[in-house]
Amino acid sequence: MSFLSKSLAVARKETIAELRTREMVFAVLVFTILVIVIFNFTAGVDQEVIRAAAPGLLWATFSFSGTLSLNRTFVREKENGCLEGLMSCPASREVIYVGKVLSNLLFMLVIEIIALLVFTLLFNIYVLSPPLLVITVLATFGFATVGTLFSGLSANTKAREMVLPILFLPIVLPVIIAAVRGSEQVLAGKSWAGLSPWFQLILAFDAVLSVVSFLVFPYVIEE
Amino acid sequence: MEYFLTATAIIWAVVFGYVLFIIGRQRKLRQEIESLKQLVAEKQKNTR
Amino acid sequence: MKGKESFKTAGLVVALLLFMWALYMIFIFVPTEATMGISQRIFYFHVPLAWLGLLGYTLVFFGSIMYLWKRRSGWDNFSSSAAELGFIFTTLFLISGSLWAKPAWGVWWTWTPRLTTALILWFIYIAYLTVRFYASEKQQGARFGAVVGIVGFVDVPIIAISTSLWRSEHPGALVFQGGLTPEMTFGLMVSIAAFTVLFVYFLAIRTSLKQQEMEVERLRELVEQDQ
Repeated sequence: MSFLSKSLAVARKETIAELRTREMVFAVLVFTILVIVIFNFTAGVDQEVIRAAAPGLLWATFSFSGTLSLNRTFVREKENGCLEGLMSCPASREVIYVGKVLSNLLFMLVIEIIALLVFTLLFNIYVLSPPLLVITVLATFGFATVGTLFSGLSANTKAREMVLPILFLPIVLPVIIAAVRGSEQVLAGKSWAGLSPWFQLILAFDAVLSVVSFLVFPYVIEE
Repeated sequence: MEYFLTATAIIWAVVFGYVLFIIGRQRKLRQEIESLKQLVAEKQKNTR
Repeated sequence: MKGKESFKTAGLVVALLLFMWALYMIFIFVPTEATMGISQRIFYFHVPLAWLGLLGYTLVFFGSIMYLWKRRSGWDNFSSSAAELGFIFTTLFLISGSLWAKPAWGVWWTWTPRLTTALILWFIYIAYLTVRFYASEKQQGARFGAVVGIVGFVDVPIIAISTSLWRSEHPGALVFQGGLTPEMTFGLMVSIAAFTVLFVYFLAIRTSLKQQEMEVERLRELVEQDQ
């Protein structure tokens, strides 16, 4: 089996396990919608203000729900002792990493698409435009690569999942900031010229962060 | 003007504080080594 | 041991002398800047602190790689000492920045790229220190710390160049724009040198202290075991 197919197998296992229990999907989804509703109240009634605040609120929502989603992967396995079993199988550490990143990415994107729909409804702003979707996918990718690495790390510490946001949010903050600025440009109807520096920034960070996380992951789950 | 003096004061306080911290730790280390030496001497006495 | 002691003393003397020279520079020698007045002198603290905050994490990065490669505790002690000092210097850098911003711009803080990235650096240091604090045992703390040390460093280049990347009201690359008089530049260089020597000196002392503490603990365990 090639590397890719092994990773996909791990990703499939994760996704199926999730679909079977549905424990996290439901909780994260409800949480995400609640966050959007709360933000709706904090933004007030003024359409102008809402328009201005929307990109930031959107990405704040994604950051919170993304952090929540990331915690599920390793915590569940730690509780059930599955990690040792997974590591003893012929798949290498890197395969586990890529598989988990893919499944986390899928999970987060599903939540985000639903969130975008809810956002459009509640905020009266059309956020489903293609450029914004592209930004969302790219930024979520960066989120997933670093987040998966650190969720594996934090599951093994004394404070468990609580440590996760402290660890990885500062590191992905540039990606989040770029996503917010880029989204601002899209929602304001600006052309490609305004969007491209942020776009490039997200791409650059994604590239470097994913490679570094990939290389470093084996050190997180070694015995 | 006060801002500059405040900044200077804070920086000096922290630097000085760190120096004290280091000195304190070194002193503790020396005590540890002393007590260890005594422990070893006692053990040597006991094994004779 | 004798050689080490005299080296340490020499280092301390050099650091102190440079520091006194720097203080003379900052308080007396450099001319007062036209627009901002005396508060601008914080600049002579602020810049070295910023530079060392960045250097600190670079050293953490370097030490983390060396630790994961060679697995010698010395590298880990080096990284954690660098992180400790880098965090302190970054905190001072932020504080001095605020104390300069208030008289110069009227606010304690703004969300310009330069300040935002500086805050990110501060949080990355916190991430590193947190991981070490919450590790379930020493070896894990070293290993996980190294992971944060490496991945966290990815943000550092952007923090370093953020001033040149985004134009804002931050007195960014003043040094290179020739907005400083030669006296100011010289004073700045002295200050940077003084703080750097201080940093390196502290780093060396702290690392060796950690090494010794580790060694003494190991010996104690050995001795107590035999009883």
